[in-house]
Amino acid sequence: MISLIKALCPFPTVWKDDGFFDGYLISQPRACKKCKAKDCWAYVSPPYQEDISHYICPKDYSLILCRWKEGELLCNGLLVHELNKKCTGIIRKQRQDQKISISDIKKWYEKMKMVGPLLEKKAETIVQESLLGLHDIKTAVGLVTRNAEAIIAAQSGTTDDDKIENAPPPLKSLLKSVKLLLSRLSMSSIVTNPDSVSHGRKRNTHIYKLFDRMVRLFLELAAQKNITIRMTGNSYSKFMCYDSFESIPLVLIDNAVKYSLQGSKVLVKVNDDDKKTVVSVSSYGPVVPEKMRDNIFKKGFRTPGASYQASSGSGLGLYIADMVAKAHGFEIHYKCMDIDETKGMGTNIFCFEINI
Amino acid sequence: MGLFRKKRIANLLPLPLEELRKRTRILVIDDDESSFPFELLKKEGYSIDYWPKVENLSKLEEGFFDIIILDIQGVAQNYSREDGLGILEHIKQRNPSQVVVAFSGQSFDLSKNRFWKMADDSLSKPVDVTKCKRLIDDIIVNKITLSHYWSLVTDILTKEGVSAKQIASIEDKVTRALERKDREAVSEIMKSALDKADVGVRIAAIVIKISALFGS
Repeated sequence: MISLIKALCPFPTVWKDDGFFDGYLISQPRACKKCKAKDCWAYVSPPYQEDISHYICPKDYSLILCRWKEGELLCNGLLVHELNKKCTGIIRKQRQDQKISISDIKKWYEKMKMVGPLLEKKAETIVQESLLGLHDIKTAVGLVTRNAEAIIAAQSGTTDDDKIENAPPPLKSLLKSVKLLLSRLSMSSIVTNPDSVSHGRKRNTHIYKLFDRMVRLFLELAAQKNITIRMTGNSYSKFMCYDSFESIPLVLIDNAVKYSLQGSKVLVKVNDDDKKTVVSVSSYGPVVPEKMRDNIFKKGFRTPGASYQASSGSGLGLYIADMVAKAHGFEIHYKCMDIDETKGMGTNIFCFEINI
Repeated sequence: MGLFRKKRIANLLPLPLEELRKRTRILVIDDDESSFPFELLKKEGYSIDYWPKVENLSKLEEGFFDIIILDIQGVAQNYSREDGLGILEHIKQRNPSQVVVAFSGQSFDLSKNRFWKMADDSLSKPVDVTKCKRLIDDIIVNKITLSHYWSLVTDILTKEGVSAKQIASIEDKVTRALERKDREAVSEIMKSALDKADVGVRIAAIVIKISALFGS
């Protein structure tokens, strides 16, 4: 959003990490281009009283900080004639090209304030339109599920588990694929409707069994990459959780398989420790660079290593898992160890603790 | 002393889950029949009816079904502009104790959040048989119980100013009738205990459920 405002700004602007930009009406003055300090942001300090705040740099240029809920923008190299009384005499005359009124800024600021909600509305419409297609896909998957279940039901055995066990391997694979598809589809809603994390009732869920079930769904996919998944732990604990909780093992195991090196191992541990259940999923692959670690749970974030290792990711998995975890009162943590600095590889561990 | 101790509904032996599955009347309202695993669940002993659209509103209001699994779209356009959401709202107004499960593929739609929040539970399409069984059994174990239904009756009676002593006496009589598997007696006890017609209507739906599930 702020990048769009930057592009639509008639005044020169300065960016914290990205240097000076000309406005489409007023360009950067020569003095600013030549300025060695280029430290405009140093003269802007909180607390900000207004949405638009005026400051003056040591070279007597006006700096105007504009703040929206989406972010902030600093206009530089201007002469706001009503507020900048430091710039006087001949210099003031020389700066006619940079001269503006505070009302010009205010008018532009108000226009830009309207852009955010309009864009949000447009983006929401586009998302909803594409999701209508998802509804049709869900209907089709429902039909596939009914048929797969009917075939499994016709197998010999008294319980569901017996029937699946007695089914020929291709049928077992089909059922696993369908279940994986169902889990992925139910996760997709969370992106557009975060409230769906807490839809329904919390149910007492066996954490170890939930992870174990998910591991089984991924065994084949992992085998294709020559990756083995091992499940260990002593946990018998149950935890009250929403159906959305299933997204956590889905994302963590999916990521571990997706971003592991060929031939490596994924280890899933679920252990009871006093009044806690401790869960960890570890795998060997590209580690997240330290400066990027704060961003790994942000929507759409992918590390360069992740993009190289698996081009198909969307950067939504950990964002969803984090949201689901927070809705259940805990946080997922990331750490890495045994790092090979030259290759950027190491053991990636995602872990969390649940009070039981 | 034991002879004079008041009987408590909570002390009645619960029916086994298999029996409760048979006795719990489930209704699925959905314009797409393939979205729910009817056949497999029926084979497992669940008692399930299917309506492609809302066919009889009064049956939904009166508590004829123990669990209503309700789709949001294409099921009640003749009854409400808000379709399934309107029906859910109506049922919850008329009979708050009715268990309704929101069943839809539109969990991504922010505008439908009211539907999910108002319902007692939710099933997001597409579903598999395991998930359905888990949800229905969970409701049976937690909500289709004598204690749960009696707590609803107690709430209504307390709000109407019936004293704790009187409620205990009614509970004692109802429990004895349930032990005798005498459905009619349960209804008679409740009728004689209440002189307010509107309260009677609200309680009747719950008492019918108690009688149907445990009275025979």
